[in-house]
Amino acid sequence: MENSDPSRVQSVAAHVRCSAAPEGWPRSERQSGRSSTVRSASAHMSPNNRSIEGDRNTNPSRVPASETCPIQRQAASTATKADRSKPCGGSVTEPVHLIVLERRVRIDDLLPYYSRADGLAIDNLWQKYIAADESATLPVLIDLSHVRFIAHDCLLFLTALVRERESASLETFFELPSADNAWNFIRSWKFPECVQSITGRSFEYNLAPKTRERYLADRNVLPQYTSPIDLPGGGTTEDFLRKQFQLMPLRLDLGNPLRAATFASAPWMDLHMRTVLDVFLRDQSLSTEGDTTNAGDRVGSTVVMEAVLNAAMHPAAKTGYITSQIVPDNPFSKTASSLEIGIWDDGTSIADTLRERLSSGGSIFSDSYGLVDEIFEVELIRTRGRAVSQRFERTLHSSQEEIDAHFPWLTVAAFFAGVSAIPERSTSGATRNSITAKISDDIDGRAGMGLRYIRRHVLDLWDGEIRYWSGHYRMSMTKGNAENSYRVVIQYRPESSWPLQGNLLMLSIPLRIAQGGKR
Amino acid sequence: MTSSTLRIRPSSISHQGRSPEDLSYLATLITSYTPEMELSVEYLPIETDSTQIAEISDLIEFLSDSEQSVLLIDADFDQALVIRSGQRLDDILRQLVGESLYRTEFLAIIVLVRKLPLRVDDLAELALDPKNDGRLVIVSQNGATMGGLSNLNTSVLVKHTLAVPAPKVDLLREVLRFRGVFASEGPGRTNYHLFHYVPAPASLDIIKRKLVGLIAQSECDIVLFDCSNAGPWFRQTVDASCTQVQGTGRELYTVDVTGLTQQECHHQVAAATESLGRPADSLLLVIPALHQGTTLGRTVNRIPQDLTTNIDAVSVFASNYAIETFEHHDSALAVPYGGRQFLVDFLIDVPIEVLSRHDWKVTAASMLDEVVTGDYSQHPPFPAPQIALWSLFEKVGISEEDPVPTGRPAKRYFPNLGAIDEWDAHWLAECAINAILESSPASNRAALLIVMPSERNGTMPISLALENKCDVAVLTIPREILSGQSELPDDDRKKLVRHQADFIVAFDESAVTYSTIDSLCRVVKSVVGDDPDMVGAVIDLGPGGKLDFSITSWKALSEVSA
Repeated sequence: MENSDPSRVQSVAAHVRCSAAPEGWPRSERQSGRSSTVRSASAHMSPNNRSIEGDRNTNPSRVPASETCPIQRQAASTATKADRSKPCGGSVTEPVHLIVLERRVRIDDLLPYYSRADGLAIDNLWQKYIAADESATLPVLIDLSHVRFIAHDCLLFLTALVRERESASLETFFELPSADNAWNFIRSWKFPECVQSITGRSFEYNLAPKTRERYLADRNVLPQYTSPIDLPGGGTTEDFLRKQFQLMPLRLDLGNPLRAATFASAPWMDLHMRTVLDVFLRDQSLSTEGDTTNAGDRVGSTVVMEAVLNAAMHPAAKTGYITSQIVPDNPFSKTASSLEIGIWDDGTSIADTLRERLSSGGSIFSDSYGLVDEIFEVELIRTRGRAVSQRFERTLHSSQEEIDAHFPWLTVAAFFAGVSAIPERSTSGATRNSITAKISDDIDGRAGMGLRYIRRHVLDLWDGEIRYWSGHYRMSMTKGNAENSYRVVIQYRPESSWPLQGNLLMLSIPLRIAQGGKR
Repeated sequence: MTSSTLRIRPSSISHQGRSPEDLSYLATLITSYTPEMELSVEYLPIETDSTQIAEISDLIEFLSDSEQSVLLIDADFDQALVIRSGQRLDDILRQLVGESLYRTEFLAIIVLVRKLPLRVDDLAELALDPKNDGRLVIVSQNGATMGGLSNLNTSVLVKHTLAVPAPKVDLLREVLRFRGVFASEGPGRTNYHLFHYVPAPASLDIIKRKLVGLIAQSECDIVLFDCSNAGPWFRQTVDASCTQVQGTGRELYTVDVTGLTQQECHHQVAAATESLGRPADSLLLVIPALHQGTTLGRTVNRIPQDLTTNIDAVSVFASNYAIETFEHHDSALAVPYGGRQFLVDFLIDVPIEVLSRHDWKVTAASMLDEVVTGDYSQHPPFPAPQIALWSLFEKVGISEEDPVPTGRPAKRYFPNLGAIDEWDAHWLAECAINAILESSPASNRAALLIVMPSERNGTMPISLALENKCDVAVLTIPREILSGQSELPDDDRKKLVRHQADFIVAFDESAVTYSTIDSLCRVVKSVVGDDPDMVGAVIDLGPGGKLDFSITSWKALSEVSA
């Protein structure tokens, strides 16, 4: 499921611009726009770009919103829940900040160059233009109107962002892409429903005026990737071609992690999907004539299953979202097509959970720790702006009896076999005190194996990549040169950047056609 | 040469594959001697019973001091059926096999599996580890092997193993039959049927395998399929089968003709032929069910005339009517249509009961708005339509209640559920499972233990269906234990303890005064220290308010029976 012509997909971060509120938005917003932010943004603009101001001045259709527009109403408020009941058109005191992902023309060869919105782009934008000052406490408009390609992790990142801001009573608004494919992508992937479930309000409430008009006009039209199906009892519903792709909400507080895991993995166990994955992921090193492996099964039965179980086991996790996307191969960056799976949960981070265990004097090692030699070559990079300010390198080995209890090292250590915040769980300790305790504490007879299962499949079997983001840390893990060795790069974003709440796990699995097969 | 056998299954599908007797027989054929020891492990998918595994590991070590010993491990079941089953199995086998290889003198350890493991699985690592001298060999159900290649003796043993085919899976066991009044549009009229069949997930893989075989054998270039009156399972299975064949490099096009007009169908087939770049040699038509040949005829009518010269057809289901009516050609049925005959292969034959529109069930279903049109498989089995239960009671008959719990008179009019067949037992069991899963978000099929009384009424067939077809663990408790006359045997006590972390449900065929349900709860509590998580029955005849779920309920007007 891709949302752009593969040959046109670009992997370079989008041009970024931040601006004060445009004309047509409440007057005081324009007047009080933070000039320093504007200047900073302008300095990064390509000379070939039209300015947003200019665009708006020459385009009457961008003029604003009626007085009843919810975004205007909210911008006018001080963004507290209590103020939401204020009447429309009230006095405006605070600016709305804009993040713009904009189309531009590539200067060197003048080929069309399309913006791509992914988690990294949003992360960079946030750090650069919002989080550095008190702007983060104001209503924010994320303008995706010029985006031509949206990666699914962007939706997860925005989900986490909206969720966090909502819990702090801060408003987040969107200008949706104008390009049809990206527009359809957002609707097919159920982003509106996701935001709606988080905010408890209709999605149009979080939309900028022009987008809102289009959204409302399109509301009864099925997006590109869906088709209607008749319900047995009458009526129709929309059937996304492959349900495993869209943003799927997960209830993680039911007391039964298996329930959430079954729910999430079921679409991946669909017979046709398993067969397709079998064709694309078959382990050719084991090809035995006449035999079929179960590589396709493993995406659902192991990778998605363990990722959701892991999320559900995070303390305080109540909600999660899982989504995926097939990203086509890119001749420009020479990247192969890949299956991307992402899961975000709102629980305590992996490292904090382990650290809490250690600080209470407990062990994080189960019997399985150290049974297999595993080596992680870790590079920790601290960045300041684009420059690398500090670089550390360290090797973590499964023979170590102690692990440095700092965030990055504990995050990596969680991927060792046998490292768990509840390493002693076993049948003998199972009791029927409560549903929650009895199931979540005993989910795994040999604790600390879930992330290992994921690592073994995604990295060792399929030669993919695992990315894990939490707080200010952005970790990327790939296979190392030797058996059971792994290369880990962790970027530490400055404290001023947005600390991603919860845990965002992203898995990238390269797709390849089995020997003898054809596309 | 001596041997030992070890059978490993998740507790919820302990019936799948070879029985312990089959395994023993296989070991005898391989080694020419009866096995010295036969062990069995029923593991829990949520957690491994490490104590049990350690005990078995010690026993294996004790018996394996001879260099001429063979350990035959049967782990041949569908891992996709039970959540997290593959991870658990790999973990258990690593513990058992790994220790056996290092600590014992086995000549060979043969592990029978449904599919070969992947190279990241611990079992595969052990088999491919040169340090193990090829003593470990893994054999998949279709004869592929891993490991063991360096050892001549092992190869001979594997050859013997492969000479004995794996037990065939009975597809009928994996099909769920819904009861109700199902309507389908026939030529100029509506046809009504009493049953509707839907393959369970386990059978889809088998159906796919058979379809792949048929497509691969045929020389067709285009596969046409018609999903009318079939659930998503049909499209999913045909798509998967074609994808698998295409994955081997064969040029094959699929055309879904469901709901297409003749002209649209022409366009679709023409587009496929154009992609092919030459005239299609032959077409394969796949339909969900063959009864009177209506769907077949309707589809053939829509295919361009110049392409209809060579059409083969496959139907997943064939009704008993079709099998009795159409002429047989080898395993296929010759269905006449439009002056021609089409050979239709079929995979599963099932009984169909046609209802006339004057049948009381059709009339009642119409009055109750329970006539089902379209795709019934989209609906969960629970809640069951009233008409379905009435038709079941009509079939099994109504008589005086027997057996009757002590302390109350028998009910005069009582459905004789002891007489239900396997189909209906499976359907009622699925209704119960769906009721449980619907009521409790914290439950999960693989982590359920259903505790039932063991009696000669409907509980017997329903408990068998739950255990053998619904992928849940079941514990049946005899009446004398429920009445407190005797103690729960150790094995049953252990089973309850092992499942104490699961979702435990006390379930009975019927409940009048709830005394049996209370007794079930008392037994569970005496072992695990807590009540079951849920209680339910097929029929609730009591005052109400006690059960968490029932499939049907009513208040009897005539209670008395001397």
